Amino acid sequence: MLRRLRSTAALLVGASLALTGCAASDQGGGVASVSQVANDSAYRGVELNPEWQRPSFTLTDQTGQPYDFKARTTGVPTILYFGYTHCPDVCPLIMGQLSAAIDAAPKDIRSKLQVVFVSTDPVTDTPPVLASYLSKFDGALPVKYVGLTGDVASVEAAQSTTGVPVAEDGGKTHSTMAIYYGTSNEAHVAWLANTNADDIGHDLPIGVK
Amino acid sequence: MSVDQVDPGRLPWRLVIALLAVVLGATALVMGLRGGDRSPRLPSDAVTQGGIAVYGAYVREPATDTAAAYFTIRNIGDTADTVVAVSSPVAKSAMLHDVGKKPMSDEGPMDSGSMVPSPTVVLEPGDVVTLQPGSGHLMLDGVTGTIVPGSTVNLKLVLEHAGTITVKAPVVGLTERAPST
Repeated sequence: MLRRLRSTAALLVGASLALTGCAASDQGGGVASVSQVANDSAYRGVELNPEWQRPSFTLTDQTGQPYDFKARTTGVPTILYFGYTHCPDVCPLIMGQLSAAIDAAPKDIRSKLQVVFVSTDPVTDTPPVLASYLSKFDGALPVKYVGLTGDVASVEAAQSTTGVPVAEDGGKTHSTMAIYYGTSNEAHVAWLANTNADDIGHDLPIGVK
Repeated sequence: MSVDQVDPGRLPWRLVIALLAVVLGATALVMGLRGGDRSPRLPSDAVTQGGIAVYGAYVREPATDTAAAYFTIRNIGDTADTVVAVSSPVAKSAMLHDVGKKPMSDEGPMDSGSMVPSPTVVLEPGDVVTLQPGSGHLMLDGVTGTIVPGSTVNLKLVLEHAGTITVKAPVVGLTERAPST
């Protein structure tokens, strides 16, 4: 069902159907139990039903200062993503699409929305590494991205409390969900790395509440 | 129909034309189905050599010294071949990852990124392997120089039989959409 929905969404926006459509016939749905997708979903991303709650964890930001995620972002539309800077594939793709979508978003969202990137490879991703990485993505945006790192146990705890699978293989195998919390501190939608900026832009105003 | 009124000694011309059309159509269909694998219409950017065609190549602009390249590789020949090595002059090392992995949405929302090496890729006649975000990439590690939109990157694929194929991959900016292949 998810596959069909995603293919349909891709068709609707004239997106890359070829990218997602070729393997449609021989694979099942495989939707995780934490989420469900209805064909009448208002979102083009993955609808989270029931909604996810904004998690609480404190890590170190790219300036080396402690960052209390819940305290700092409560009431602020926030996109939370777990990845690592040397990820060549899905991480730069979703980060770039987020940047493009936010840059094109209505002013009230663009001027507030906070993106938080949490490293799944904190040994490599020191604060300076994160700062350099994120500057490639937020240059055109009024709200600069926050990059978080810490000891391995702390970043794993952050993933657990958020509700994504804890990364394995030195952080290389990791969740590809970009989770969007609205001002109500609930997340109703998340985007996978194959979601394009148009789809994210479509969902930003709907999930902002 | 006027068939009944025709001289019984001769085939009605309309029937002959109809039969001809059916035969031609069926032939074309069979040829088309068979030719789908062996002599496909390739995109204009296709590089072909020794029964292997590579096309749709691009490199995502890197945010670090690690970049990913994507392309489609197709065996248009009559014998199997194997990708045994990849390289690029812009990178210290290169490696294929996750080739053949199902596209992301197949796994549902809890899918994860991964980096499983694919040291060799076997291509039977007619096989098409498409690398795309989330389901296979050529990782360029330790990239040197400036890889920015507007430039191109040479990718070298070494095949057991077809030899070394060089493809020019345009660079796609970080915030640009993935080209559809």
